[in-house]
Amino acid sequence: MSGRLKKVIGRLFTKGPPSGYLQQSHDQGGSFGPPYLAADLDKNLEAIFSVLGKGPDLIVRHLEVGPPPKLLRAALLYADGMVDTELLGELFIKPVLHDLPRKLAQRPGSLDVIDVLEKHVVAAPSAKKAKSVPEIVSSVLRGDVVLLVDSHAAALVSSLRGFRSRNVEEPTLETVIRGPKEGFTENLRTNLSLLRRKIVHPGLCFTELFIGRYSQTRVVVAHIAGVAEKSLADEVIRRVSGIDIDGVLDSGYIEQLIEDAPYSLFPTIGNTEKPDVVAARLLEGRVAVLVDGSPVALTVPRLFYETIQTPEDYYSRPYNSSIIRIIRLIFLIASIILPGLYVALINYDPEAIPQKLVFTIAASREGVPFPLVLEVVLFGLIFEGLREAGVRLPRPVGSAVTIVGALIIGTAAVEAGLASSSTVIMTAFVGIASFITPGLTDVYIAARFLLVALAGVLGLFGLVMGMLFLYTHMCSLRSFGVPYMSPIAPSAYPQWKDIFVRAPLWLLKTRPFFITKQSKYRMGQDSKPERPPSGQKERN
Amino acid sequence: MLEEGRISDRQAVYLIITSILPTSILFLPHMIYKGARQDAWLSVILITFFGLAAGEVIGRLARRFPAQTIVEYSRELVGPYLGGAIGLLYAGFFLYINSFVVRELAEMLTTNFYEETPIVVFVIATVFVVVYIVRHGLEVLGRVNDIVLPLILAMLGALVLFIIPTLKAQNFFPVLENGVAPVVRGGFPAAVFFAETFVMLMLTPYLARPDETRPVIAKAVLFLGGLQFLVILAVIGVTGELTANFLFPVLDLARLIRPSLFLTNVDPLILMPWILGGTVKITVFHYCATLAAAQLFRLRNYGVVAVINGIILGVLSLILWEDVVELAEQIARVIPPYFLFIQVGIPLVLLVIAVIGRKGRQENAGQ
Repeated sequence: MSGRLKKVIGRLFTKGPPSGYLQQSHDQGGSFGPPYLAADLDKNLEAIFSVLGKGPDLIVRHLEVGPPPKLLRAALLYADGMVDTELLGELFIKPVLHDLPRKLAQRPGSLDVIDVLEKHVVAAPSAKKAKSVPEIVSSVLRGDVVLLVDSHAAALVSSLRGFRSRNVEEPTLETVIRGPKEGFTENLRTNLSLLRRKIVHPGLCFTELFIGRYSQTRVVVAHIAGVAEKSLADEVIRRVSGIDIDGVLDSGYIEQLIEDAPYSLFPTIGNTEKPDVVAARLLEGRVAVLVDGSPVALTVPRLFYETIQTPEDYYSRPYNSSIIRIIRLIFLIASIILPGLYVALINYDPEAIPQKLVFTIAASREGVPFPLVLEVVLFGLIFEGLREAGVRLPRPVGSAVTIVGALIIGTAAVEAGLASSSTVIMTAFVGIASFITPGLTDVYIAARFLLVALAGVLGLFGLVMGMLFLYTHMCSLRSFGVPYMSPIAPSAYPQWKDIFVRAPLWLLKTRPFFITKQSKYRMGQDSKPERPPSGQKERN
Repeated sequence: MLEEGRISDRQAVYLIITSILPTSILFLPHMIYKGARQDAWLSVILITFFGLAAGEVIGRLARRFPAQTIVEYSRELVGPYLGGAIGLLYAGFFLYINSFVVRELAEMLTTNFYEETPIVVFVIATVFVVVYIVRHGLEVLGRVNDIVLPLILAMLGALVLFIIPTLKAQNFFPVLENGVAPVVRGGFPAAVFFAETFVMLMLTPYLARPDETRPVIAKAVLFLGGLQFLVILAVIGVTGELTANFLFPVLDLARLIRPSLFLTNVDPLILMPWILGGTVKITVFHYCATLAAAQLFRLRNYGVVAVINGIILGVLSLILWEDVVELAEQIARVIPPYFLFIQVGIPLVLLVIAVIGRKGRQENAGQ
């Protein structure tokens, strides 16, 4: 693990422009002063201030340290609000002022104060030496405490970060009834610890990268060595470290800059707010990307079938999960093709609809001024508009608007003869159906309207051609080298037991082979629960 | 390398099935019945054996030249000029046979479902999608087919299931009323369909295991033979004497179904997998045509060829025949000997030359 880390960091620093903050700081800062500290406190402070400036949030505390006869001047630097001041006083300043003189007196030969501080005095959990100005600058900016001592060409950096962040809460988007309810927060350290707590094995590797010229966002690529393909992890790291952008404010930035098919409607990178989902995907041989400041983790490769899966499928018993998966798939397909099918059948092949229904639909379309295609498109747009309004408005108002919109506009439109009731029902159904699989939000509207247009022009033939076109596109996609539609196409029938249905856990012995070939089995060979021997008599 | 992708054995079997099934199910019953009457099912057995024999020739060629297509190894076998001519012949033939299929599909749509829409609309739409798929390469084509074929089979299975109650056994008798001759006569035009496994002449080098060509073809032919057998039984069993009058008996079968559940008329729904299958079939042939042309002219990439070939394909399918009657007439009476010569005859000649001249990879004595 550390070998990998060294390699990656080495690559960062040698590769030049794309990332590695040292290089970049030079790129945009220009006047970075001498890169290494001098043995003079004033010069060092000057060098640091020339980069950092003397902003209101930069705290400089001057101290004098050492045993009384030869006191040394020292300066403590940290950014206001990013350091836990209580700990700073208790674990850092107090020992430096009280213990240092004693310790120095005990070993008169020693002259390296920084060394003594690091090894014998400072009580903070982390303390290390730093020798270059850029290193010190970025430490201060990240919330570390830096102590400079006169006539020493080194500084002591201690991490006592403490800033406010959200607690671990239940995610708002992915809610479960059964299963872990904790969600990621904006704090990367918290998120990593959530993962570590789920996967204790030393194989869990975190590779740290700093992305963003100005934001210097910490990005961590996680995988399990021995489970994930090493080439996959390397590819993710390569793509992420190739990003050159001024700021990374959310994992969405990373997602859009490393995805395989940037033009496609279909997402090729998965995301989740739940640590248990990330852990499950890591165990399947996937690689995760976590970004500081974003509660959404990315996972790759992301394949189409993930759309109809939820973590809960695995936490509850298989029967319900299997049925629900099939329902999700049906609703997903319906949500895309139903408007097109509706238009095609009514316009071109009404004989394929049950006779009574045809009459009902025809009667409800009586007096509607628009052609069917226009009616469907119009109401589709109105539905999407109402939905967007419902999302943007404050929560209590939002639901009111949606209800008013759905009920009043729908009923009134039908009564006024602007739309047929069948179209309104169809639109509402399709809209609701698309909520079931939120992973494809990008696809629904565009694909739906494409198919409606084709069905309007060419009927069922147009619809089928449109579907074939869409499907071909889906088949042509890849997510980090894995065909997007696998294992559906190319078909791997043994894997279908965890795609369209969710077979009992003890049948899912193998990891998905199309993602990883590293370790084939994820459970023991005889994991099926056994009935106890039937020797015991019933007790009456 | 023109084509980077590889397909598995299973995908190859599926591709062969899809590249034969949609049209053979539509056209064969009428065609065979006209010749063989109630013994049509015997004709099917006959042409299945013929299909296996044709597959044997193609499979043996594939064993000798596992890394090359026919366009490439014909140059090696009979010299650059004659070999080039053979390559050109195949590049053209794939387009030509495909134009039949495009027209068949379009005619099926206009005569049965869209009486008022001009045929050119269907041709353009089909060719557009076909070119789109071909440009994505063989792997994507294989993946698309992985879903399309099961859809067709499911539909066909449902059709046969619904038909069973209406079968009439007396429609099959008397067996061999007029001797064996009609059975052969009925099977002859149908043989063209079962020799369409010759797409493997172009696809062999792109199999993950090119040596498997022979079993791949055999599996596909046996499956198709069995299916065709069932369909013929259903058609004869239900419509009997009338089969000769229907151009697309299977569609008429579909019309006979009154599932009595709640749908009154299912044939537009049956149409959907059919269009899918037909389009994939055209795509397979178009892919072969495109690959052959690109190899013939030693191009590095076939994207442009796919488009040019697509335009030619569309135009050919529109101008070659006046109407569906002429089309059906040609398929049944005029083309079979020529097509069979190209599909099986030339490979057989090439195989003989290869065996005599000890060209290509030698087969071990035991195999």
